[in-house]
Amino acid sequence: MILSGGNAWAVIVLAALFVYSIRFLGMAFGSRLPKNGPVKRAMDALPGTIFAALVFPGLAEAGLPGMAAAGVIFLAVRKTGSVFLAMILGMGTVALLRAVTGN
Amino acid sequence: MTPEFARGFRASVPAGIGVLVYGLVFGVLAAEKGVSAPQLAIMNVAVFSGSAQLILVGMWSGGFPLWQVALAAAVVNVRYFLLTAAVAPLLEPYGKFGGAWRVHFVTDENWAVTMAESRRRRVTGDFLVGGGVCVGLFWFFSVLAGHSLGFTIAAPERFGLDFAFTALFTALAVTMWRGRRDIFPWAVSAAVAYAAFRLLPGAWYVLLGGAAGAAAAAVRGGEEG
Repeated sequence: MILSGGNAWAVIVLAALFVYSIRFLGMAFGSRLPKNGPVKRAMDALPGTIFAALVFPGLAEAGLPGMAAAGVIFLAVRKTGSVFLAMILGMGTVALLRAVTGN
Repeated sequence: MTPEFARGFRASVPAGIGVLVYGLVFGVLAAEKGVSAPQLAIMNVAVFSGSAQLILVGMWSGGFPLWQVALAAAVVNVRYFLLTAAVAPLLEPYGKFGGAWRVHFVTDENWAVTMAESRRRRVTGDFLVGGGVCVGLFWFFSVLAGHSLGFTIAAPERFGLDFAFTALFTALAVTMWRGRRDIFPWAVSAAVAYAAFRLLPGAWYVLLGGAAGAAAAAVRGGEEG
């Protein structure tokens, strides 16, 4: 299912409200947040863990080409620091492996 | 337009050029996912966050419940809480309403430019907003330009374009890797996410995995970030 019509607009409005709330609440109450301790550690770790959760099942489901691409992407980001280049190399790896294996 | 606004705008132009490249890529991917130009235009203004929009569009065709998609997009942005907390003193002189609309213009890029400038001299909220408008213009037009390019690409799976989101998300995840202290939280996150992906409907795997990983970072103690 692709989001279309009212659903698409609803998800955009909802996301806009949520993201704005974070900006506003940070400005209004952010100074009361602990500067260290467990809450701070969780907040610092959260963006990374969200991406890990988002990516891992997809890579696992993509099978061998997906796993190989993940390795290429990891090395490319580490060596070049370029997210864009890493993405292109990852896509190239998948396209190449698909062509070779005939999938 | 105040001189401070103009200064903030100019200071953020280099960051804006970085945003432009990212915006073009994002626009191509959004076209690939079937997001329309008007939807993208409104999203650029109303959500105005690269990472949140990326999650939104990445989950666009997954058939997930709306609130879960919106929540996942927002949760990836909890760091904004810390960014806007840091610039709250700059926005205070504008009063409640003055601060309420200006805070929407906080993004990673102009926030960093503003914080760097504030180490050298006293900056005002107008400098921050000028930078936000600069970054926002680059973002808005590059995304729509990418979107119109995206519709011209035929047979996307031949170029691995269907894998583009996973590739981009993986690359971004690698940039967020903070070294050995992330091993435990990320392993918990990946394990919980995979179990939830298999067992639960919708986008629970993103939310549960992310929350479990953050909880793991909280209980473990050790060094601070």
